[in-house]
Amino acid sequence: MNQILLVGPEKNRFKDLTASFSENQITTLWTDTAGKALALVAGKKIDLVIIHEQVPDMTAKKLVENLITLNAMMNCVVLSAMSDEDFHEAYEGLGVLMRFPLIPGKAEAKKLQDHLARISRISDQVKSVKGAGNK
Amino acid sequence: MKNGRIAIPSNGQGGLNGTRAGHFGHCDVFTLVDVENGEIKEVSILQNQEHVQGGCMVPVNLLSENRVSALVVGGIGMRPLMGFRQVGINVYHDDQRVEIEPVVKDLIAGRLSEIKNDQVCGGGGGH
Repeated sequence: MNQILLVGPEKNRFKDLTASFSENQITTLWTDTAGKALALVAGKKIDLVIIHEQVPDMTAKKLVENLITLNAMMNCVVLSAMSDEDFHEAYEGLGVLMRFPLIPGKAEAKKLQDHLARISRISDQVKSVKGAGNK
Repeated sequence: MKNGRIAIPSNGQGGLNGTRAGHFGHCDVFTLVDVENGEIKEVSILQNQEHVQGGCMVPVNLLSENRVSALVVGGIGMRPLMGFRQVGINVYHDDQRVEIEPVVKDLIAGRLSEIKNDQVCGGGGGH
């Protein structure tokens, strides 16, 4: 993972998260609207998008839907005050990696990188798994 | 469907006489059915991989790597559906029958419809 797009009304909210990613040589970009986020994703190599639940021009859920319609491989994380149960109900099926608190920090950055590493390990196994019909 | 490879999310050991899994991301195995000239040529089994939150693209890549051209689900989330479409796997829908063989035969005969965007699952659906 090389580049993360942060989407939300206040850049400062992402300060601790940005610092943690930076320590791991991960670049972050920030924008305040869903429209600008979609334009950035279309024009740059973005590996992951972290979205505040209150983006001014679109719901976070709608932005996730638009992002995966453009590229289903795009991983998304949402900053939300919802309970785990409500979040699960609202977002499952959209393949959101995890929910972050409204002001995420170093612990969340670590949790996210560990989770992505786990998915990456599973994905690597896929390359070696072939069905009996493959000869 | 005249030629191609069909994947069916399956319970247990899978196979043409087996049963379909309702939760495709969590299925035990995929039953793979090779079709040539509208006939079943070969049936094989593909082990599913571990499923984790947000790991929807794992089964997409697994089936793509194994040259699957069509998938039949009872339900599916929006992200994996988009993923399958983007790698060129057509996704068909049947939420009525648990048996594998009649669903495969219906797909070969052109009697199953592709899943529509408004049929995707939210909240604990087929992902």
